[in-house]
Amino acid sequence: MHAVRNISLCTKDCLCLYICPTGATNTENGQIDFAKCLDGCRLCVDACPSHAISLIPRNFAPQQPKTAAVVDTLQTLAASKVRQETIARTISRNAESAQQRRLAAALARSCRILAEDCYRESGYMLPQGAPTRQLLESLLKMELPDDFPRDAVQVLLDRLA
Amino acid sequence: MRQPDTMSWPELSAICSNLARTSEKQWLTEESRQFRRLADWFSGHTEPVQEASLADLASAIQADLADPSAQAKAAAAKEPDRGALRALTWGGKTTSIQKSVLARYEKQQDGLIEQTQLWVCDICGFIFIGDTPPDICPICKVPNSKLLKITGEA
Repeated sequence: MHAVRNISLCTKDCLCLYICPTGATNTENGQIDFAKCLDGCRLCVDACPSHAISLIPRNFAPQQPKTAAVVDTLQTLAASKVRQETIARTISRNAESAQQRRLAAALARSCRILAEDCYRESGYMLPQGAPTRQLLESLLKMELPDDFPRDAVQVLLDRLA
Repeated sequence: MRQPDTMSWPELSAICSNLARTSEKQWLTEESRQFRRLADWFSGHTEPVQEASLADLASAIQADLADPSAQAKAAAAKEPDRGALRALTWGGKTTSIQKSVLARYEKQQDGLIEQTQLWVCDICGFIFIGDTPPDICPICKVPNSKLLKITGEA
């Protein structure tokens, strides 16, 4: 477990700076230096008067196993929401009025959020999980246009290894 | 689980934008950025549909509320799969809101939103029409800093 700082809550009381045994809380970018942070130490978490620091696991437990029926039905719903998003985006782009453009944009956004949630619960919750790895590996094997950012896939495979 | 090479590009985009979010929740900033690049590529290369009308959209949304939702809920309740049930509960409510927003627009047309704002909850997709969003999202109960104002096109 290492500490993270939620910048939007931090009120610059700076007790974390003085209490940290390694100086991990003292950085230029406002975030804690995860490499210096001591596993499970939590001195800064308890010292912070604005509750801006918390601990997060270095390794997450695997996602709850999903039955085939749950995965299939969730992914069917997700695919349906994605189709609706595409329809809504098309309407937004070809809209006759600014109001219709906004309304369709709101529906497109809403559909995308529902699709994401279904995919998350169908097994794609953890970037470190096996389904995500299989997805990234198949993206490298698929025949995609030259401008597809293969480098992004490679970076992810390396970092999530 | 469906194989990625059988999925459409917008489907792959939604999986990747979801992974960008879940990376962000773990403070994996670089991973989130790379998943966002993939999501943007897939959605940027998605062909618009040939015939798109608000009526098509309304009937597709209505169709979700029947069999697909019921089947998913039954599968999740059987385990029970708490995560899936949570997603389906929010999703069902949000889909009903989508349906009602479309029905209201059909009646009032542009007048529905001409003088006011549109907001979408970034967590559950709830749509709110009004000048000031509620303090918390009525569906997922997140504070209203997560209700984002919609200004331009999709």
